[in-house]
Amino acid sequence: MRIKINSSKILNAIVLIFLLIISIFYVYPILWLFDASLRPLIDIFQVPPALFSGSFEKMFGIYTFNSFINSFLNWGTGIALINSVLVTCSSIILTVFVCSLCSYAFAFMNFPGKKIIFIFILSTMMLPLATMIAPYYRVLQKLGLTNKLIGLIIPYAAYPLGVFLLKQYFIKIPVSLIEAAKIDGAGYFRIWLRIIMPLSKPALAAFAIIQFKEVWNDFLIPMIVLRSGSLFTLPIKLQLMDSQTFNKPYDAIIATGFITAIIPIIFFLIFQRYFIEGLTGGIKG
Amino acid sequence: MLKIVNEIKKELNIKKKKEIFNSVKIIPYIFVSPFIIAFLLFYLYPVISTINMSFQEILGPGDVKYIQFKNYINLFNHDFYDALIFNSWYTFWTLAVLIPLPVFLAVLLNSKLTIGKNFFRSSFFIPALTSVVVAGIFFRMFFGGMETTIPNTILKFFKIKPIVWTFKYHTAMMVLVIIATWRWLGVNIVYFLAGLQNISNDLYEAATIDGANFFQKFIYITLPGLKPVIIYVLTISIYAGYAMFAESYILYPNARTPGNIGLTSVLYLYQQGFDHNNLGFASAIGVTLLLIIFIINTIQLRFFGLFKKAGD
Repeated sequence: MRIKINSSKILNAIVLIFLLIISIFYVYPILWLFDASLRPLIDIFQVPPALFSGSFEKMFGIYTFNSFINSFLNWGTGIALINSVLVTCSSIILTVFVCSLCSYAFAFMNFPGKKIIFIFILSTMMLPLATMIAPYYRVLQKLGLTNKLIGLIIPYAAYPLGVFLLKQYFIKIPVSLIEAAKIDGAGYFRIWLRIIMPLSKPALAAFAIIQFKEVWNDFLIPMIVLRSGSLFTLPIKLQLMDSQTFNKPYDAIIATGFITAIIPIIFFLIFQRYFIEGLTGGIKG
Repeated sequence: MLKIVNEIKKELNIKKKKEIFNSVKIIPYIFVSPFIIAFLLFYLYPVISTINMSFQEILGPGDVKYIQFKNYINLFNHDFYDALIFNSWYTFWTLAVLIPLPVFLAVLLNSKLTIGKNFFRSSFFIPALTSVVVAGIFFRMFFGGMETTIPNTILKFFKIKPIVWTFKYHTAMMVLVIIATWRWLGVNIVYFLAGLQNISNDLYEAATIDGANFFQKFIYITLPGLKPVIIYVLTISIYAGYAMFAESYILYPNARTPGNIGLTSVLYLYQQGFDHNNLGFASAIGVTLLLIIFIINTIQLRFFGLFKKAGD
């Protein structure tokens, strides 16, 4: 008996060490970016890294905000940050509105063509947008959405995965609640706003996290939509800085990269307690 | 008198309007319509349009000529062939890593005995939130040619000369697969964790009573239980593998891939469509890719029996 407990303890320790090693590899790039963004340019690629130099003075004494100041003053990271926040927030509001209304209809109403439309929407989840950028660009051009921030917001409104995820969660809401509200004289719109939405917070949060990371990090669509530098979102701005052939501004790139990476992480950490709960409704065979 | 009649008419009208807005027949379509409109404009129309455009030579807006299958005939060239081969291997390797590893990790993270589950789950998921541009720039520096990078230091330990990892075919593939693993492992773990929640605990208890060990339980309960999720992940990974673009684009600044190393089909599509302004040819590439993804996924779904409903 005693041996058995010991062996399971050893196994647990091995699992723990294994997980720790992988997770170090997983957070290392972000930690490196954080550390490098606070160092003077000459120290960034120093060998061995200043962080492991041993003396506290060398490790943290020389932290400066120069990289951030350089990226904001000379490379317009501030404007790109504002653009990114603007696009991401508006797009989340729009897509949650559009997709939740649609999912509500699919979850609680019967109408001719419902099944076909739903299957059709889901099947397009298999169509990568990347292969259709040429006609996509022409649609945006015809609608006058190119080189405008709104051209980044509207196309995200229809997100098939969102409809699927929310519908799976909505159908768990007891129908009796809706029936009761109907008897009290509430209209469909009111039921959606007052009953469905508040009860689906975990699914909405999960959806918001997914949408946040999709829109914030999107690269391909802003690449083809935006032309003027004043409209660039953070990833595009970062790519522009990175494509400089001479005197590449490594310090500004690292500072901007850190800002680009850390904001979705903060957003995730705030809402993550809902994340798994909201998703489990959505993934069922 | 007239006034009263008008008043009543008005009242009736309002009531009618309200009824229409709340009528069981119309309301579902009102709720669905914003989605459907956006969907038609930004999903369906591009699909149909890309097929149409693939038969055209597009010199400018309004200057369009139908050239039959010429764009498709032009596809038979070295660059597109290289790109497709690269995509296929990339897809293969990402599948080989990104299904077994996350299944294993999800099982570990689902076990009651593991400590610090939340911490691990978050740290595996954080790369998925990170922009591909940031990841690309970081890994380009990490696998750079300098003698002092971590990978080259390891090589030095084995007395091998430092190399520029992104400039050789196999190491470039490795770097891209590592980036994919770094970015998508956490997402797949979340899928599999969600799938594990749907497997009833009774099955495991019954198996324990019957004397099954950990591996037997894994093979006879966990894997069949995860089958739908595995098929889902397989499908979207094939899709993502053939649609890969940004990773290569960042790894090789300004899309200059050395001797087609790291050239993917969508990168080729982008070069042709937007750098060379050849939208018709780009559409032909897009249609071909869509077909390839569709065919592979159909075969795969048939093979694993999603249509048969078995094992569900």
